[in-house]
Amino acid sequence: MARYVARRLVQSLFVLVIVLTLVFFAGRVIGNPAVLILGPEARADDVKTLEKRFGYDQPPLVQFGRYARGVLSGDFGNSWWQLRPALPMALERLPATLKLAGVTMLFALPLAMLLGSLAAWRPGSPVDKAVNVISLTGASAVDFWIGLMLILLFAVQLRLLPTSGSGSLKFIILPALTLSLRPLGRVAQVTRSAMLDQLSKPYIKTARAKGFRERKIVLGQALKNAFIPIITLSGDEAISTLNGAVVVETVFAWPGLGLLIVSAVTNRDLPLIEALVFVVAVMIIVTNLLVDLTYSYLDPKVRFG
Amino acid sequence: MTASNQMTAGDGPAVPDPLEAARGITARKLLRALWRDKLMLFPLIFLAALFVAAVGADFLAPHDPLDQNLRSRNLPPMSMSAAEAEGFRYILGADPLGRDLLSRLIHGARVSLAVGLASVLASGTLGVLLGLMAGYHRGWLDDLVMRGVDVLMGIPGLLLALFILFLVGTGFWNLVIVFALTRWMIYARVTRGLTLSFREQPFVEGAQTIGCSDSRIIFHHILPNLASPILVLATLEVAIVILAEAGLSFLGMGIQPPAPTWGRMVAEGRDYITSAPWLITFPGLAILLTALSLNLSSAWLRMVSDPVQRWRWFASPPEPGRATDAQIAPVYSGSIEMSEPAHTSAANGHHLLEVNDLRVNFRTPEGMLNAVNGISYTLDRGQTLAILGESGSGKTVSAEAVIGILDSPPAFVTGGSVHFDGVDLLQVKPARRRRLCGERIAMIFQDPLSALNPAYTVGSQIAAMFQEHRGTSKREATAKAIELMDRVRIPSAPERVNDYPHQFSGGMRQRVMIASAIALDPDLLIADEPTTALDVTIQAQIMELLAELQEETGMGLILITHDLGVVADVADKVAVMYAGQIVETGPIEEIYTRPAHPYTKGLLESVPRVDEKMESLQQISGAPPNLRLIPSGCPFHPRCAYVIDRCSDEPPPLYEVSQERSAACHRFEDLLHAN
Repeated sequence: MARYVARRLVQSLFVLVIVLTLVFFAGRVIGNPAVLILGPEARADDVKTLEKRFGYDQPPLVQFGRYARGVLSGDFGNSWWQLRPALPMALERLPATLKLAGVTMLFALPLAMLLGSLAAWRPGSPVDKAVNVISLTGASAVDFWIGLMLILLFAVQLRLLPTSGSGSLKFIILPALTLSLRPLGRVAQVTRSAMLDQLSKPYIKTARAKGFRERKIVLGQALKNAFIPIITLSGDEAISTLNGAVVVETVFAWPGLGLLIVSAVTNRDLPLIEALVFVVAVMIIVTNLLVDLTYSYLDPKVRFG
Repeated sequence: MTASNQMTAGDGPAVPDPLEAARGITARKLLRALWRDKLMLFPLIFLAALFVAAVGADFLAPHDPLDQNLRSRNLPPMSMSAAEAEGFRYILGADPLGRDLLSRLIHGARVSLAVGLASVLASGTLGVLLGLMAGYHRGWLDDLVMRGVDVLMGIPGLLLALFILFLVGTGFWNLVIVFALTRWMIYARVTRGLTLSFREQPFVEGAQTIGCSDSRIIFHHILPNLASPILVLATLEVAIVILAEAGLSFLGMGIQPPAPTWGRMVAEGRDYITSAPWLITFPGLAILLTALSLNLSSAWLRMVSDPVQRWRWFASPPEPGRATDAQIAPVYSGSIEMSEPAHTSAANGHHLLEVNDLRVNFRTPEGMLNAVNGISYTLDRGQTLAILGESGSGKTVSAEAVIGILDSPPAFVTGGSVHFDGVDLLQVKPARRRRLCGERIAMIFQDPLSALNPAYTVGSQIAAMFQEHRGTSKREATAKAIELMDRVRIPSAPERVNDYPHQFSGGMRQRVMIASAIALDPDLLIADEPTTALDVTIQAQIMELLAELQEETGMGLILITHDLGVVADVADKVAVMYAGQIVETGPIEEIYTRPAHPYTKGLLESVPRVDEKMESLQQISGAPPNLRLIPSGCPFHPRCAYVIDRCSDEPPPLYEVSQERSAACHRFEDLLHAN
């Protein structure tokens, strides 16, 4: 087990190096940093001056050496927009996004698994139809618009919840609700098909012949075996909440990574973007590692080889 | 589906010929089927309207989408233009710059659809080409493409799109490039998978042998077969791209002003959410309805590209499930409403189990099947009954009906009674039956690996019996599980109690099944082909174990098998089943030596025996009947060596052969004398 984790960590490190290298060359070769800062309409001599000042006129490999040294010591340079170290700026925003994604998944996953299981238990039932509708809605959801409509309803009309910002628990309800639509539908759908598969297996007959209660059979026996595809998708969905977070955090002014990404892009802040890519890549790697560990914990065939 | 699993392969539901179905489809039939299925009609109409709006925006839009009129700022829907001279209505209101919202929506459709279709065309072409090459040539190219797919699919797409747009700037073609680069993977994965499977198929191998070039094979033989899955996928992807484009537009990274886009219209209306909510409502609805319509259309395309489902969709009214449910509701369901009979009065309490005229039907798309057609038998404590028959004869289904674990739907008990110790199991409340089934009736199955839950240790699966039915603590239950494992002679039980089923051999797994079945000292054990999946030497051990346990506990035992040899030594009575009926029943020695039914005789002759010298093994000619087409008269007559004219007309009753024996054959006397 420990060896497996160690091997995955080394692999992840390798992936991280490649990503950071690609990001560097994409920023320096595809785009010209000075032009990125000044905008496409900048005058040529302004560009020249800036290139000289930040050392962008040096050969790419020299720049890369400096960049790599910086990255190794956790220094991505100063944000062009805020003029302070980029990595701490990104890290500051991490907890808010983790909180939002965590609440979203904690709400969506159990509910989706319950709905999906019930739908598989009685295909064609109202719950089954509801799962269909939910997953269809999730797949068609215009997240920023749903967020705004929720604000219109709960904050503006009913005055129950704050429109935007962060603070008490009340602030997280609407953004998390908006963000959970997609994972709710997708996970419910996958749970349903995985559970349909499991519920047709002979061991379910055994459990029924043993006189177990249906609740125990469905949620205890079958669901434990259906976990593998559900966990895989849940990992993907957890990563995808970052997509939604960009939009939803903008709508609700939630001070997380997503909002910072939008600011970094609109302010053409290359060092900040590089730091953000690093943070996001680490998040993805950690999530995938967690999913892998959950697998081996859940599947005895993997655990005991 | 399950119906066909229960039966043998020979009598699965007949699949309609896809070619015949395809030939029958005309435009008129399509329209009529669509008209019936409104859920599919509306999305298609909406998409058609959207397409018309996008193409003809210049003519259809009531006003110039860019024409500002500051006196009409944020006018609500249906209000008149402030400039009296013009005098037109803002049907959906006006935006903060006094531009007509409806006209902007119509022009926005053009942007959404153009980006969506162009991007899907680009990403689809890229993905399909890469997938074709990877699947057809395999090797390093395949590795490279699939590695790329894995990596890119792990990255949140919108973030990647934002990063690329940050580098290359926005604009229509840049958006298309971004979507092509971030959305090709799913096509590549699907195409590669299909190509790999097509490669092995005769039509491709044939083309290779006659010397077709690779490109000809790829483009003439493989690509056409990819059309429908890729079309389904592409429809779904248009929805995804349109949603993503709207999101980027909302963030200010989409098509730049002045061209109106739905996403930016929502962003611009955001500041007026309290004073002019229609500004965000209409563009948002437009995006939502477009995505919803595309998703529904994709589901519809997937359905009609599957020949069987298409045939059903065209043939029957929508939601056939509901209609047929009502048509053939179970006649008899052992329902909760019925009053529980008194314990002893209804039944002749002296038998442990008394099955009377039990009938089980399968509901299939093609109609009802009689899987069990009125069988009756009795079993006493300490007795062993062997139910014998080929697969599809209804022996397993009848046992599952007794213990109440039929898959319904499609299987329903439609008649008869099952009295266990005086209680009619078909009439009692589910909770009561559940308690009886776990504690007093137990069942073991053919394949012990799939019958055990792979996710739990064997110990916990045995212990669960005590925890569930007796409320025993986990520790105590585990101790009892170890005792039971000892009792069924699993070596070193204390160490193995925490092992998982996959760590056991087949014979040991069946011992685990037996251990959990006898955990609560049941009065009746039903063993459904308990040794079929095992080696011959292990078979004998398991049978020995069952016989021993029966001796110790005095339980009744029902052995379901197709193998007379297995049960010869342990069974007291035999019931031979054919086509859902018992055709012969009686004490085993008598039947063994002097069968009174030609089918039993055939079964006996097909089993190698050590106690008699045999010239050769005989086979019963023909195959078991399709349950949908059970022959008239005696169901066995087409395969019978003793057939006479009467057999095809008159179904034989169960003739009493002797006091304890009966046989459903008009010529049972001839058979008895022949032996």
